[in-house]
Order: sequence, then structure tokens, then C-alpha cells
Amino acid sequence: MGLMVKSFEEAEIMAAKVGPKRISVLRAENREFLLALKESYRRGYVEPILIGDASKIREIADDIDFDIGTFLLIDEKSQQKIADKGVRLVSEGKSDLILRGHIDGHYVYRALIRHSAQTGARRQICVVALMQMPVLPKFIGLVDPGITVAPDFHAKMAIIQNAVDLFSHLGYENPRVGILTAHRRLNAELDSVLDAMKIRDAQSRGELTGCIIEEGLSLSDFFLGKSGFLENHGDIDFSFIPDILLAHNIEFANIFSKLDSMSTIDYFPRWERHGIVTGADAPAIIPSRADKHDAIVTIIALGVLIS
Amino acid sequence: MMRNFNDILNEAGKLTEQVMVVPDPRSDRVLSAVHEAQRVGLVVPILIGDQLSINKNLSSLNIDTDGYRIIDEPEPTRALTRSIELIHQKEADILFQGDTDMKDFLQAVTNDTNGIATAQSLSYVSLFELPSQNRLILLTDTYIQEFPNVQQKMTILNNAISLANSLGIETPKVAVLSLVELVNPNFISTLDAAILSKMSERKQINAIVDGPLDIDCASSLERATRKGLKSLVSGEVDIYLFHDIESGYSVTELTVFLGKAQVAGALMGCEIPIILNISFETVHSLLVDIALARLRKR
Repeated sequence: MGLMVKSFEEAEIMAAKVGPKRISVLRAENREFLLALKESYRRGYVEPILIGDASKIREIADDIDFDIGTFLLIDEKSQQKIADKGVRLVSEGKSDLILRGHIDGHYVYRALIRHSAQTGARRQICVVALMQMPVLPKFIGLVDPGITVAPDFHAKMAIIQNAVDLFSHLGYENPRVGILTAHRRLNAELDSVLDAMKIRDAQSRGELTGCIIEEGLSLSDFFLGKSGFLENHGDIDFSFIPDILLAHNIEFANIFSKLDSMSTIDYFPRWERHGIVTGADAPAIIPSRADKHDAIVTIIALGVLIS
Repeated sequence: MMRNFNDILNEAGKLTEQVMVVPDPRSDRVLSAVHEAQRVGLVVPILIGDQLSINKNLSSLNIDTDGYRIIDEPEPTRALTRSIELIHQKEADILFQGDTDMKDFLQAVTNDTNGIATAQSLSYVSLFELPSQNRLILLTDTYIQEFPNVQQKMTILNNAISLANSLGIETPKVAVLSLVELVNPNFISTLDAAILSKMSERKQINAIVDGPLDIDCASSLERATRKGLKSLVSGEVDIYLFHDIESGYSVTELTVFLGKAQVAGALMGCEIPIILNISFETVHSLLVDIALARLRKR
């Protein structure tokens, strides 16, 4: 693609040029989703494939004046079957990406993991949270706030590669990967630190490609160096923040992705974030429950760029 | 109730000063913090280290060495041992890590024969100001205990409650953080949280504890309500209790480096107040740490 996508606004501009992509919408019978698809279709991002309760989908589409007559519409009511069908469409090359519609996330994860196991691909499926923080002029990718509870070394390697691949789709050449650990100036042999050492060794053997693994083991290391101290806050230079951050476990990744809620206004203006499931045949984009149609349009644009 | 770092400095300033011993003070950072604490009347410092270089460093910072008691002990390990002796001899009330190595310092403090704490009892609390709500929040454990079980979480929590009490928060509201708000036997963090909540309900803990809570439900009443969750602490949490060090330490770092937030901290669970020299704390943080040490109940 060449150009580096630094914000969700830019993603929307780029998606119109890259699209349309074929998008399978899992359980499409929801007003916000159909509004989002109507707009995404109008902008040339996507060609929707609608899976779900056909009569309900038609009813809502009518109501919002969205002509779905030319789209593939698959009538199915069981949530698991909907998810399985969507995943199959992608693996058969009939669809480029998956959009989680009005369906519980675990049906989608289950379908993806099951399919990946059947194909024997031994791939690690994970969520990359793409975050746009007001203070940073680029995206930060956080892994894995959604699927892998306590990734071991091998899982972490695969998770990093997933995130790196996603970032390269967004035009980030050799993204910097920071492995976040609780390494303090103590004699701690934390699993997170041992994994970080192994990941670095593996990269020096050529196992992780297209990225730079940061030397440090924590934000203090990234910002202050191994033995530095923070003298005052004016010294903080945001350019030290890596592009991709790997969390040791889901407990921490989950808090990190939502940290703006702990101190809204005071320290973190609300940051926009969207989750993408990577590591499967095609990316699955997963708007959060509370997302309105304009937020869903944004995440669709993102999906178009990385599929 | 103290609502920001200035309140802490003001309240501590009203107390009669105490003696603070500082082993191996070499850096401008440590000397500046000590000097400021002395200047505002929080402490009378005793510096133990290489007398010549201490004098030189103090004068290069334009600090008058008159008000200082300096004990010449150029060897850092011995300076540390000597500092702890002064605590035992009741010649000093407060211990500041100074520029001693973190590992050596904590080992000396928790040493079986002449230490002043046990490794199990210690925990760290990090404080942030929330100006928009005009109050302080306490995060724990952000430095010491790594993967505490429910028993150790009780110790960590009681330590934080004790600090909250010192700040004038009588019955603090506590959120035991997890990634979900439903108890799920597959996630230990949710089980521990449920146990601690129940213990609080039975008055076994002197605080209003709720959990498991995710960070959204803990910090925002609006978002908890949207999720259909009723919690006594949503949006009013004084103490956030983390499941493990990976969360506690890194969340504190994130808030400091990405949020550019001033932080302060307190090492809890020891016989006397101890101040650590943590890399992400600024000179001003250290000053607030010293004030906090003064406010701690003995």
C-alpha cells in the first residue's frame, strides 16, 4: 500500500480507494449494522454478504431505505451455524472478511478456532486492539485483549507475527514491538521476562520477520533506558512508545485497552479503539456492543485495508 | 480527607518533624528530594555515605550543608546496614532508599536477623490525583508482590486500607479488578474477588469491597449501569486491587508515561515508614512520598 495509516479518519479515506471487499456479516438483523453497511456500500468499501434471519434483515433494510436486492442473503437462525457459514465463505475464497454482527463473540471465536484446527494450520487466533490515542500521531496495537488467556512463548510468537502482519497491511514498515513485562529493578525471574528473552533469541535466529523487537522490558525501559529515572514529566517523549505492545496475559491486556475509563478527562482523553481478530484465513472485525453505526463504518474501513 | 498531593504535603507539614535516614545519597534527584523535605519541615535528614562527595554534591546544588547530619561511610552496603541500625536504635524514624540498589535495599529491609519487615508483609501502593473528581485513587500492588494468592491479596488490601485511613478515607471503596464482572471458575482473579467481596460483606475487611469488576464497571457508574451491573463502588473507587504484578506495575507505568500523570507511592507492611526510589517517580513524587510517610499511623 505504501502509505502509512495513522488514524481512523485516514483509514476511511484509504478504504474507499482499496474497496470494495466482500464482507460476510454474521447475524445482520440489526439496525446499527445495516445502517453502517448501507453507508459503507455507498462509499465503495464493501459488497455485503448478509447472513441471519432473512425476513428480519429485509424488514430493517426496508425501514432504512437500504436496497439489498443485489446482495447474497443467507437465511440462517442458529448463531453457531451463522458463524460457521461465515468462516467457510472466507476459506472457500467467496468472502474477504468477516464482520461480527448481532452475534455473541464466542460463536465467532469458536468457529474460527475450529476451522483453523480442521485445516491443521496450527495458527494462533488473537485479537489486536487498534488504539488511537489523542496524544499519539499513530496507531498503537495491543495484543491480546480478547482471546488468549495466558499465552506461552509459542503463542506469543504467533501473536506478535499476527500483529506485525496487520501493521504491515496498514503501511507500517518494520513496526517496533514492545514486550511489556513487570520487570523492575529486582531480581525477578518472571515468566514474562523469560518469554521476552526467548522471543529476542528467536528473532535473532530469523524466526520473527518484518519487525523490530525493542530491547527494553517495560515502559520505564523504553522511555528512560535501563537505568534512568524520570526527573520530570516534561521529559516524556511519546516517540519512544513502540507501535505494537504485547501484554503478558489477558488480565492486563483487558485493563490496558480500557484504561482511558479509569481516569477520563484527567490523564487519558477517551481513546478510540477497535478490535480485529487476526490469524485466521481472513480478518474478523468485531465492533463492541455499544458501537453506533458510524463507529461500525470506521471498523469496516479498517477491515477493508487489512483483508 | 486529603484530596490531592498538596493536601498531603500540607497535612504532613503540620506535624512535628521526624528523623529520616538516607543511605548512599549520590544523585541530584535524591539530594533534591531530601533537601526539599527538610526545607518544608517534614524531616530532619541523616545522610550516610561518602562524606566528601555528599558535601560536594550538596554545594553544587547550592544547598547549605549546615542543617545536615552526615555520617561518613563510603561503602554503600555498610551505609545501608548502618541506616537500619539507626532505625533499631530509634535514632531515626523513617528510612529512605536513597541511591542504594533496589534489590540490595529490599533484601536488607526484609533480612531475617535485623530486618524491619518480612518479605510477605510488604506491598506497594501507587497514588494518582483525579483533579476532575477532586480526590485521590490508590492502586495496589504496583511493585512488590508478584502473583499473590487470596491470602496475600488480603494483606495487600489491608495495607492499602491502612494508607487510605491515614489520608482520612475512613471506609474506602475497593474494586477488585478482573477482566469480567461475573464469577467464572476458570479465572482465579474472579474467584479471589468474590471471596474478598464476601469477606467485606461479613465485616472481615474494613472497607466496601466489590469484585470481580472490569476496569470499565469499576471506574464508571454510567458504564456499569449500561451493563446492567449494580455495584456499591462503581465510579467511586478509592482502591483498585490488581490481580497480579503484570497488571499493577504496567498500569502504573502507562498512567505515568502515556498519561503524564504525577504519581506518589508508599511501601506498606513495615514497622516504620520506608520510601522507595522508583524509576518512574519524579523528585516531586519523592517529596510527596516523604510526606505520606509522615502521615502513616504508627
